[in-house]
Amino acid sequence: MDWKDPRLTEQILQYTLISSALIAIAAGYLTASLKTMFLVYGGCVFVTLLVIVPDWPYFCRHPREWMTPKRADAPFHHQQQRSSPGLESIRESALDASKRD
Amino acid sequence: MHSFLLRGNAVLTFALTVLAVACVLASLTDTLHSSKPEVNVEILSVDAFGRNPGGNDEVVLTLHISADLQSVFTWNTKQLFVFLAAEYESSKNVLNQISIWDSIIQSKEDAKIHRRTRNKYSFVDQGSNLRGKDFNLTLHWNIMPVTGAMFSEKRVLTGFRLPKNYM
Repeated sequence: MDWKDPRLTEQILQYTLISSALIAIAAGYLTASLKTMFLVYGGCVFVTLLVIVPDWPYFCRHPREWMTPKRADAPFHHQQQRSSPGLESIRESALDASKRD
Repeated sequence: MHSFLLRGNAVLTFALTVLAVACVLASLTDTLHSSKPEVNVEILSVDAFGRNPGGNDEVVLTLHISADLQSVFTWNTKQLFVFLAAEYESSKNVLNQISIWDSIIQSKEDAKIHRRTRNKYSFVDQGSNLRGKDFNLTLHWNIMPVTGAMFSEKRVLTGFRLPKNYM
């Protein structure tokens, strides 16, 4: 799973749940039914789950660039290969040395 | 917030906390409510009055209880527990309270009581102090909420008296 911005998730979470609770209380009070309040709130929580839990693309708008792992004996950087002997040539010379022995 | 379970957990726990706060707020709206109950109780007849086998005074009454408790219901009321208590003073106790009838009202539509009935529970004294006794009949009701604290109200009706002699 990609790295996601936790602040965005937390913000959506808090604002939607608190405002849905306020809407639910108002709806229940106006219809004089506590059951309406619980149903409205439950519906809003379900919608919040749909908005937050799955892997939506808007969570990944600013992805951080991770370095991709490379093998230890591969050249570190393109330029390094040209400028310095690099690990590969050291390894070759070590192999040659052991073959001679 | 890097996994489904973590985000789902965050949503559900915060949702439950917010729901608890919402229930507290809903129960606080009850303080804004004003109720106007109407209560009247009459004793239609004294059917029996004497000593019971335990040696204590006992009375059997036929009562007419009429009450309109519809305005007591709020959106946060689950049910009302209504009971009628006879209250009097005796040489042994400063205050005797005996519950002689009760009822549970579970909806606003059922909150109009027109009952003509004998006392549901025995009206028994501790001893034999009831001859010629003045007593009050008090209708109490406990308001049981869906969320929040339970409150209790009452209406006192005075001026009842038992016969001077056993029947």
